[in-house]
Amino acid sequence: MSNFVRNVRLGTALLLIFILFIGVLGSKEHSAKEVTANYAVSARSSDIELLARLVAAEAGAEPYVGQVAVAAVVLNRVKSSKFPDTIPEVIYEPRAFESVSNGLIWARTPTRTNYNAVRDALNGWDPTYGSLFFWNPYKRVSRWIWTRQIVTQIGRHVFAR
Amino acid sequence: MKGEGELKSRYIFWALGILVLALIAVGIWSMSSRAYSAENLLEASYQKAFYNLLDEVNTVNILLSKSLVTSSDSQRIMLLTSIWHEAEKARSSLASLPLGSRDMTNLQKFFAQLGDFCNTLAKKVSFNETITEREWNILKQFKKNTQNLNRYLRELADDVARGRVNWEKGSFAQGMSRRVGQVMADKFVAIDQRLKEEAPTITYDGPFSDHVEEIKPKAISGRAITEQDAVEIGRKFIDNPQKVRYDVSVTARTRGLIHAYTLNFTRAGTDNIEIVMDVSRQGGHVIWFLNSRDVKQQKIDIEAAVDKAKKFIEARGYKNMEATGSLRENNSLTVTFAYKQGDVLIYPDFVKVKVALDNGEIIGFDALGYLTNHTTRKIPEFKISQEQVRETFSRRLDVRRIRKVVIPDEAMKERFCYEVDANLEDERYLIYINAQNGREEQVLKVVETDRGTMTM
Repeated sequence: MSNFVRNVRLGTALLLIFILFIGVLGSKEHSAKEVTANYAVSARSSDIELLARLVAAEAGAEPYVGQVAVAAVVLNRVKSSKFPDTIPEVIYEPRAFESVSNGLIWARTPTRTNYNAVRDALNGWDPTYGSLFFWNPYKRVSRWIWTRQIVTQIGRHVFAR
Repeated sequence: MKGEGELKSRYIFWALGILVLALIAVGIWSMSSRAYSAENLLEASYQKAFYNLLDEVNTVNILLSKSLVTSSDSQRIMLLTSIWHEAEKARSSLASLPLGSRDMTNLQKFFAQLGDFCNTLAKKVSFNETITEREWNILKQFKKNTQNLNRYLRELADDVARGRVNWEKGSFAQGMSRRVGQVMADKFVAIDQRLKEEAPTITYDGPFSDHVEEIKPKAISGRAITEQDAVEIGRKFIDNPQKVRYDVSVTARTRGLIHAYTLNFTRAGTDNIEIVMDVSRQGGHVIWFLNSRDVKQQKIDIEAAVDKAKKFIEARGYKNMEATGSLRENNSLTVTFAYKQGDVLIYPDFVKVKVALDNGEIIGFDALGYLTNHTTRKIPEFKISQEQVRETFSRRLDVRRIRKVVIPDEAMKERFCYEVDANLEDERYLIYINAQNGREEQVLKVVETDRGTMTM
């Protein structure tokens, strides 16, 4: 009898693992659907929304001016000959921003502070003086990026032209 | 009895076990096959962008040759304009390739300058100006560069067609190593570097000309200041109606267009950075500051806010400034001021002031434009009279105001103009007429929103 109980327990355990696994699979599916839904919404909404999302994902934990700076870098790229001409094109350039590659840009809802930072950048404040690149020096980055001319460091980001 | 139960339970156990394993296997298989097809889809879209790029470079190449040999000016205008469009398309295709983590700025810049230069040239021809020897040479140089680029890309395309290289690992042939997948990006970087060596720096009258990047600030003067000086200057500069006690410290030395000390203002006793400010190391000019405090409900009206902003900059030495526009966002107002020399409004010499609408405190200031451009201009004689300008427009438009202004053109050169503020029915426009030759430099459409006035 005890053997039967043990087997039943084992069976339930396996079943539980199975259910959990389904759960994991299921939630993957779910999040994939959410991504497309968000994408559609943002495609219709303005560039400000998209930029605020990028700021939230790339610099959400940074001080306020660090957030303005990240938004300013995107705008500097739009203005530059070295990058595409529109905010969406710059943000969606494949592999240009880590948060677009790993989906973090869709995982966070921008706060009012993020929006304010974007607006200040759009209104002309640029703490980076025309910088086109930023990176976290404490993480691994491509070596070529260190050849750029560094303008300043704000919070945990280095900004460079 | 016991044996039968055991047998039964063992049977159930095995059946469940096999079922679970089968389902896991199916799950993994479906996931990997979905990932595999997604990878292929991605690869296909990258390849499509790549072939588009190939096509566009080829078209630019042909158009360039034609624009060099044609004898007709109207034909040349059309060809040059087409090159501009095609080059812009090439920029877009290039931006769709997975090269964002690489330094591909030379290729982008090449297409931008090529298109921009051809557009400027087309404008010149349309104004019946002759193309100079130097400009012909630049055009020829562009043709040579494009020809080479075309060749490099074709070589790469041959490899792609044979299935030798791709963007994503393991998409075409399974079992390819990750290293092979990176070949495509590496080859592009090599092409980018080659182009950097081949293409010269060029200056012309367009926004992407190389000289635009080398602007030196005009209004920075005085001796070098110390960090302590910077803190003193910063403390005196900010608007502080609530008499908040701040701890101020220099946190960075920035090396932008104007070298500066960055100051952080924290409320005494807290770690919260409330104000950040840049003070120039030469002369101690405040370049910009931003106060990130939370702004409460609006209590003062727009007019009072604009007045506060004007008094703020006047008290800090910015005299003869005229408010040219404002934008309200949430509970703050950003006002732009431009310098006025005599009766001429100098748009490039601008400062921006952000006013909190809850108590009228100045929570933002930006003088980078002013400090970069401001100098005393020699105002030339306006060869066209205001009456002449009014006459041309009053036939079709309802002219509200005409004034003398200086605007920056696309290449950041300054133009003396008449600014015609006029209505076509209920739509408002700003039209800029060159005061020297009567040429129309710019047309802006004014959009009045509840947030403020914007131009497009």
